[in-house]
Amino acid sequence: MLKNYFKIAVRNLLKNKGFSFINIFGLSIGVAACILISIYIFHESSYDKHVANSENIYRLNRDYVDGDRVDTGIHFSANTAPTLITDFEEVENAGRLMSNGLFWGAGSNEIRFDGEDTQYYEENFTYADQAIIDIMDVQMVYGQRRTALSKPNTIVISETIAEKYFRNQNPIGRSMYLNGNNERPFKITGVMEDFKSNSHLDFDFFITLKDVEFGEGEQTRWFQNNYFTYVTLKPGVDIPAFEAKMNTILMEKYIKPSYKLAGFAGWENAEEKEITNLQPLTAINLYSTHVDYESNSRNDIKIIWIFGIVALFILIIASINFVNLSTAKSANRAKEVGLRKVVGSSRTQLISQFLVESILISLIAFILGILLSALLMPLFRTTSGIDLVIPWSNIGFIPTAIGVSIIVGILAGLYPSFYLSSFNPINVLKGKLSSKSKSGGLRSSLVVFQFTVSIILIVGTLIVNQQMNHILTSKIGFEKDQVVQIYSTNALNEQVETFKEELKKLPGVNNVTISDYLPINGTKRNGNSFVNEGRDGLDETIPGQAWVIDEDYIETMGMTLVNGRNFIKGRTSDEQAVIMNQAMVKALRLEDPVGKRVSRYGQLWEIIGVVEDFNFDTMKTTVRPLCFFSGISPSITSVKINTNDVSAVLASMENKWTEFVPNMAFRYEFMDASFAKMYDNVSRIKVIFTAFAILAILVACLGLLALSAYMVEQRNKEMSVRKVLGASIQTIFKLLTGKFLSLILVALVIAIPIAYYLMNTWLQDYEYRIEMSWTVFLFAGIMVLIIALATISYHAMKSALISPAKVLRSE
Amino acid sequence: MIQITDLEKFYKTEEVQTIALNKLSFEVKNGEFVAIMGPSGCGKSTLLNIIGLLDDPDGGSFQFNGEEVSNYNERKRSELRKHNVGFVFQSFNLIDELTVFENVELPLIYTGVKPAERKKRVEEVLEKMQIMHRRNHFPQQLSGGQQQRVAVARAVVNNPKLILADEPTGNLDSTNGNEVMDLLIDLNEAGTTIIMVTHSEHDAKYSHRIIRMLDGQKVTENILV
Repeated sequence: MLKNYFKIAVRNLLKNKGFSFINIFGLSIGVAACILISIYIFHESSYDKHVANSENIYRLNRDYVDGDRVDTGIHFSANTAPTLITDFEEVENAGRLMSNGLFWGAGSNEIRFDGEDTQYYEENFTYADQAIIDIMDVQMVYGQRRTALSKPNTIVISETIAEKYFRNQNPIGRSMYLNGNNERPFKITGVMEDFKSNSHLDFDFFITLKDVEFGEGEQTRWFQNNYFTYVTLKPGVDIPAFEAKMNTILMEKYIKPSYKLAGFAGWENAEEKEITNLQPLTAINLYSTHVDYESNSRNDIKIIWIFGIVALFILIIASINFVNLSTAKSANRAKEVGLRKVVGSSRTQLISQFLVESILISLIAFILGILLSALLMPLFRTTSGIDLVIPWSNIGFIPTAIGVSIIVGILAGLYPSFYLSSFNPINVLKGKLSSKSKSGGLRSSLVVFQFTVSIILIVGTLIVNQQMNHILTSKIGFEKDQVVQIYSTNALNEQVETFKEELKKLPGVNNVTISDYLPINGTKRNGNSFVNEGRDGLDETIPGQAWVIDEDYIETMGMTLVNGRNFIKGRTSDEQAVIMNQAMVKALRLEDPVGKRVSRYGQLWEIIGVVEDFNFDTMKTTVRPLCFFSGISPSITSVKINTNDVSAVLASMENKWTEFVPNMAFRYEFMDASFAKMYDNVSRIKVIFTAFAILAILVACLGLLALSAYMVEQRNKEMSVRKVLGASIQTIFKLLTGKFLSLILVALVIAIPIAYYLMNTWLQDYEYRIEMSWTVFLFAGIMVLIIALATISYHAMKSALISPAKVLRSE
Repeated sequence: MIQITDLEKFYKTEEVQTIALNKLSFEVKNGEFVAIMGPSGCGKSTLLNIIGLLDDPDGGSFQFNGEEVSNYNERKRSELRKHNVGFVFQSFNLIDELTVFENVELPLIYTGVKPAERKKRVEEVLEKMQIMHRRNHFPQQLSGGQQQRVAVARAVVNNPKLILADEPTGNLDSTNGNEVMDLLIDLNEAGTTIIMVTHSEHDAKYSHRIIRMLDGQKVTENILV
């Protein structure tokens, strides 16, 4: 029996090649999209799950509550982790990471190995406790895992770095020097396996925190928050109860007394303003968009949902093609159904037969879809920026794919098989099957559904693109174009200012500034507290950035002074002066700020100017308070150029560099490129989203193409009679396309409010967002209408032009 | 074999009710060959569909081998049909996607006959219908007469007790038509009951008895043998 079903299924596939192609190809595209997105989703939601004991590991987060506003931070004081171990029996282990480039050694460094002269530039340095190696289950290639970071001045490097500098050798025992500091060697005590691509940590160097202190008292103060803090809890700990206990004990026993001692205003009710939470290790990747200073590479659970839904919709659109085409061409199968019933087939047997057919189609489509996804994988890897692979070796993969394909086959085949098997044998054998059968209404609804989804995706794509362009091109308070950032200029030591002056003399160079603080992610940041003069201990402090800049900074960056003046070189009084941004002025509630003074940890600074707000976080958030201080922060030198011959300027800058530091490579980056990098993740999502929206409409149009072919075929006789009676080609064309276009219009009417609502919700995430314009909807509508019209025109035109004599004769 | 008493069938549209069978009664005995004649719309095809268990009556009684079947559900009718009734249609109604062999094999598949036995029986019947040499051809590759021979082969392969033929020669020229009639006679002589609807007086003469119908009722009955 099955053999017979199979045989007839194959023959039917071969007989209706066009139909089979659209069904199988459309479904394969859907399947490929689904597989790629599923792999992506699995990767993104698998973060840190490989860490042993991951279900008991948490990162500390702290909510800073200010009225309605809650900011979430992840920095804790140095003594938080040790205190958690000593004071809480629930805690099995706790450890700290310090990767803030503000502190010497963290972030990026020039490195040199013992016995060598060459300096190399490396990134991804962090300070870490031995406990981090234990908690994060870091595996060692060389060295003792239990003690790797337990001694002062030790360093653990990644396998990649070990391979790069010590190919096939064991580097344990070698020493490293950072940034030319020959007084302080770091001994390599371990080579760790590289962090997996689905680990939220990605470091190449762990410098021990053993006996490290960043400034006096830094290790004991409860208000100097520099450390990411991770804990392993004992199994079975009640998390909410532990959080409550931890907040109470830390606050009452340590934090509040220390705030009181330091004279912080509002210390009495600090427990209402600072609430510490535990974030599960495995939730960090997808649930950290609200966290300040979190890495840009974190994903968003919302994106995961959106992608999942888009993938599902593409598959549904492809399955709808199957349902529509099967029921539309039911007339072709009707006789067979009638006959099979006459010779003894039961309805159940017929349903099984049609289900076998749809499962067969689905299986073929899945096989092709898997191959297609393998083919597209390199492209998807580049686009997504993640090292994804098709999990061939995963034993679950093939069975799951087969299982899903059978389910899809059954779901898509269910309605057609019930519909086809319901035919009355007497009617169909007498050719009395009405062409306007019951399934027509369902087909129309499904087409409307397909195009509603497609239109929503198109509108979504257009608005995501507009918003991204808005961010990349809108006024951000500084000019990022034609600025070259030269790195590691701290290697020039006291010569850095001479270097700056030399650069200024180069043709094509407009201005030069030295500062590590740039309005670009990944450059230096810090946290300071400010309060108006005379209000220390009375007013609540305003958290804000304190950036060290030189007198050329504001001009080089193209920022605008809205009040007061810039720093003046050589003026000693400017060493006690500050320029603040508008957000800081507002936060301090200053009416006429210039000339007034502001206190930072008790020290007073005269406000000499106000700079217009500029964005230094991503555009998702408002501009936060910030102050400029005069000084030298020498790691990055930024050069504003003004020339069409960029390569010539770069060459002359490099020559100048080599004159100053002959043994070090010239490293630079364009500021607009580093700015765009901040939005890499969003740009990638934009590309992926656009690609899948195009796929969705392509699959929907494939279905429309086939459906119009059948509809036109059914109405051939009617059209021929109309033609004989005098209808023009245009009339025929209008008659044939009218119905489909009206379906598309219905889809448009349904899609527009949904798309508006969804995109409006999405835009709320951005502080700086576009206004949605009706032209987007108009454009999407016209685009879909044109695509649909072009699709159905092919068959409609063919029918309109056919000779009626030919059709009527064959009738 | 077939006992029909006061059989009624109506067709309703929104405004009109048409009476297709109007208290029709007659009997067909085992081994008989009965021809049913009458103008278009007199109810002969409706009658054939009811006898063939493809349709159910709205009133009256229909006994098949002494059993009342007018109230059978679709499943029971299908069961009874596949073991007892074979159909021959005017337009042959072969499945285009199946070969001659496969078309004839189909009823055996649905009655659960084992493959080896199926092969034997299909080949036997194809041999008998002299169409064995075309066993691997598809219907479109055959002439009308050949197609009808395949259809007859399919109707008899299950050894049904009853064959219902709906204008079996309607689409054939006289030579092919006569050949098909000869096949039916052979089957009847071998013991199969045949009920045939026809417009052709020529064909009707092959039967034992002609029932003439008009407006859903039996008008005359001529016994020929």
